[in-house]
Amino acid sequence: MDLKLHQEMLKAISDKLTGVMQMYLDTCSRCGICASACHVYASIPEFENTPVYRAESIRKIYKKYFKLQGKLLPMMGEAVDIDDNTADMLKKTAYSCTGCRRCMVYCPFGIDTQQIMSIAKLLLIKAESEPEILSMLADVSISKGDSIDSIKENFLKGLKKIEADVVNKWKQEAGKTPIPTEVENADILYVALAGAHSIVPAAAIFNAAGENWTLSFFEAVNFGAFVGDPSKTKLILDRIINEATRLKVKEVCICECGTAYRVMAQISGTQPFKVSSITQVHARYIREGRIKLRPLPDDVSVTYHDPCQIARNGGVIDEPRYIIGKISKDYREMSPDPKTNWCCGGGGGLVALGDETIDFRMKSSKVKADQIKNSKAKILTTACENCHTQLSNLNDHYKLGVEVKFLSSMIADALIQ
Amino acid sequence: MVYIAFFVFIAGNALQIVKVIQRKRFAPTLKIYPEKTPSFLWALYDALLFPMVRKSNPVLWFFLIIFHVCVFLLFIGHLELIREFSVLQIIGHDIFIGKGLVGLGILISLLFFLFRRFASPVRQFSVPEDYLILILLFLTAVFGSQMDWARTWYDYGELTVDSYRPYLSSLIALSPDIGPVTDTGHSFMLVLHVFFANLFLMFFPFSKLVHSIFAVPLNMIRRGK
Repeated sequence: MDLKLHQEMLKAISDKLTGVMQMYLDTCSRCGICASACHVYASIPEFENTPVYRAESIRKIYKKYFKLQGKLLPMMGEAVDIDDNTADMLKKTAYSCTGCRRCMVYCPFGIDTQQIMSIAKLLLIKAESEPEILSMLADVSISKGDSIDSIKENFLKGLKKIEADVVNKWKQEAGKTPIPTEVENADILYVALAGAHSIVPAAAIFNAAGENWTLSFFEAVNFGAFVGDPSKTKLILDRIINEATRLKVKEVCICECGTAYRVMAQISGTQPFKVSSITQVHARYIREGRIKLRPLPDDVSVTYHDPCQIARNGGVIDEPRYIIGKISKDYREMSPDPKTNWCCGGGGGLVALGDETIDFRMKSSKVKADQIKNSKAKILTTACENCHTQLSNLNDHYKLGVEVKFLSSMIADALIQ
Repeated sequence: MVYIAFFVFIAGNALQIVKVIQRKRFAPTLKIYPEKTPSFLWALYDALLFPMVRKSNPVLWFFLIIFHVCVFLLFIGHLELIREFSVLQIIGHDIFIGKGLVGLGILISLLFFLFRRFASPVRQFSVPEDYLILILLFLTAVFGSQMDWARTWYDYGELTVDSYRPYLSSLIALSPDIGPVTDTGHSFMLVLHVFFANLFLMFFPFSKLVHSIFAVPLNMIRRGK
């Protein structure tokens, strides 16, 4: 292996070696409790699919270069060198983990495999072996931030085309803009995904609630986080932070995207604005009586998929259940404890990789499909774009016969004028 | 060798802790939701009673609890071999604590852990360190327990608490006197017990055994402290 690359990879590990990361790497007793906690192993019971095996791929390199045991007695922990095979080995482990952190719930020490896999993803970037499409998408997001004026005109034209759809869902007073942009001192800056499905229902609900809101020019999704590049993650995040600061908004509301919400809520640090998920905002509107919803017919049963980054890792657990309670009289939990709800199998960038990963995604999420089937619900709702795509794929693949819906769409459809 | 082992054990563990403290901090939260308060007590509950292991694998949980309770009782037992601590006798008991059952509990648990390592999928991700630690512990425990069993179950009274106390006290006073424990038919058991215990102590700070130090802080991080 090229010496320079070797040194860069070692530096990448060193940069990631925080105090807590050292504890994650030193502490694992390889008890294997995490194995059955992983949806991939539970669906495809092969040892390569266990969180501990994935983490060991990094732990063995760490031992070789950062531990006395690995230097004096490398065979004790099967310490390995970084060599030409490292990237191939890490590719299998890093991108079979969706970063759902269900294994962390079960681990007696609370070891975060997603954190350990962030080292694997960074090493792949150094070796230029990361999924190219994720890096390209991250670069496109960053370039939008560099040249906002060049995208503004087309973006505004696109918004004009969907304004009628917003008004169809909620009729406003004449003269009011259905999708406001660039509103200084707005109470909410809404950061959507690219596509009308992420803007139309949200806009209708904001308007129904009489919110003083404005739409961000940037899409919420953070491909930098998917690919595991901390610098790109920050650049993509900074676009939204700068926009929110420039407009002096009070609150940044992230659309139905788990990664975007977690990155903004937990990585952005202390900011002069509050960060909320759109589900939290919608629950607030209902509690405050700002929107009224029409319940579904009694025979329409609903189940909810907790997006891992929003629920287990983001803390938004009660709000979706409160909202669904206002829409449906027949709500069915998938798991007795939402923190142990199975991952949909599409996180960590797997859905963004599209057809390249579809076979793995379907096979590795059989437990999720079984969970949905066992709920016997007619409507499967969720609050994450990635999860929605993956659940729709599962619905088709396993012929589950459910209707997969965004929670925000259900709210928008239930608005009482 | 006893002094070297204890020095390596204490200095090695101190070094591990210092390294963790000196490394840069990871700023974003790593907690798992929903939150429960007081988070410190919940973290202790997670670290000491492994509730999710009980849910996921009750048999493993049973042996883990037996093993760790026995390790705790062994620690008390060894303290009482140095001298009498009235606070430890709040619940009155013979010295050595456990009437021989503590050693038996440890050995059965260790055999379970060892055989479990040969079953899939644990076998595939186990490394030599995992087996070595279990074997070292087993050897330490079997020779230690054998002395206890001989005295407790078979009335082999040559090596008693009164023999250990001068020996262990002399070790602590840095003037080792092995006389009281070398003149019996069981002294070779003690030599082997101490030898394997020393190896175990020296390996401790450089192995996964540091989980005994990091389990509480890691669970606190998971609980959001």
